[in-house]
Amino acid sequence: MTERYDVVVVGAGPCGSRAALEAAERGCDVLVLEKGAEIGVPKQCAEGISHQGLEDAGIEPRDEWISQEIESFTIFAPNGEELHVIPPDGGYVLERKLFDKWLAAEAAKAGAEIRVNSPVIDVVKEEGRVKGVVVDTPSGPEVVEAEVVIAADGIESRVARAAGLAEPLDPDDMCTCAQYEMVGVDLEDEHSLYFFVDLEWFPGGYFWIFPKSGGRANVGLGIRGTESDPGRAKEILDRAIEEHPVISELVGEAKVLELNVGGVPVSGPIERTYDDGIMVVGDAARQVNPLTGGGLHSGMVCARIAGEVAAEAVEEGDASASVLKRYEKEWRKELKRYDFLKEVCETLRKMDNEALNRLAEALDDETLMAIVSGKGRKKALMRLAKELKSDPSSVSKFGSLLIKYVMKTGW
Amino acid sequence: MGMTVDETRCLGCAACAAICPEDALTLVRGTPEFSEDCTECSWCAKVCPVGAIKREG
Repeated sequence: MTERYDVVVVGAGPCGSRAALEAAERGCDVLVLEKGAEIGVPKQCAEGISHQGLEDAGIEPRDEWISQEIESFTIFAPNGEELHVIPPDGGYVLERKLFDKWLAAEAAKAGAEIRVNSPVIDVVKEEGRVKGVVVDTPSGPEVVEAEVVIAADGIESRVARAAGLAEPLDPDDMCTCAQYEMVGVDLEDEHSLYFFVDLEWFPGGYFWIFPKSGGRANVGLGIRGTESDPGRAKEILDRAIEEHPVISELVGEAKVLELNVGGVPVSGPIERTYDDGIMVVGDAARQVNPLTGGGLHSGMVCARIAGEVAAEAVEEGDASASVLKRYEKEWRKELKRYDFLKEVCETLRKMDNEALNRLAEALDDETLMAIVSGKGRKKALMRLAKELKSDPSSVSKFGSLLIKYVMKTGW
Repeated sequence: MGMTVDETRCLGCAACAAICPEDALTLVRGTPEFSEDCTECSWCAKVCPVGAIKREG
């Protein structure tokens, strides 16, 4: 007999588990299908999230999966100029292996079934409506039926593609990333996230050092797919650790514990994340901050909403697109600033190192403080924008963009 | 001829499958497999962070 659940979630990453937890808590019969043999590995993440991010995702922080408290950002311009930013809200570097497992366990405690080693290879459609999924099992393909399928299967978006909701990513809309988890990292401030921007070293991306407990850190970079060559992400990682004037000082003597690789979608979300019987969440829906490449905060917020809407659909006995579109309406409100961030990102990557240095120079402490605190932000942004706009370097384009947005949004 | 995967290097991250313009590449149990739609455009090889994919011939 064919198995049947109210909600089938594909993928037990943080978004899949968050959606499963929400739907199970609201009384649905939930099954989570994870392709891997173990939840939480391999890590494909720099593991940072703000306090606000966890709160928005509806998750109480717990010592068992917090690796490091974060209080500031340290950003290095190409010329080595250092910006220190203390946002009003701090954050954490997580231990994703423990966090992912904990979150899946929470979903299980709320009643969700979890199956590992269970890749989903297709969706089942009837008269255009998604009715379930096909799982690859040792005894062959098996169908599991569902009122609602939640696709949280990561960057490949296999399930969303099968449902006709996603196309392949443009290589220019993906960052290809390589990261080591290292030990013996010598940071001046182990409560700061370090960022290095340099369009020659890290084209279309950046390099990061995110400190963890016990002298460990995630040390990695992303570059655009269009700027990549076979193996280039890892090559630049190795070379930066050896030769980059600042990075080599900080991690040149550190030792490698892990190599993590992966792609990050920076296109902004797919056009439509729902259809009859299906919702798409997280990396699969490209719900990723297009400037930072961060997807934990945005993905889990969207997943929580998907879990909520799935439960409503089950309750109402109607999982048609007309009900599930509530999900899209809600998450678009949450991520509405992403259009702007994408434009910021595209403007920055078309500049050159000289312009980035100029930007870093213009961002004095007073201006930075006003921007991050919100106190006097509009005035500070306008002053900055006007200064940049009249600059002879390509940073003037960034000035124009800022003026446009400050006028439009009234910041 | 064709694309080949060095399975000892491949870490199964799926960056290749995410961008394949022909949708001709699927990860099967963690390893990329190519369908007959593959045009050998080599974008998969280009974006691979560890250089595990090569075009032969």
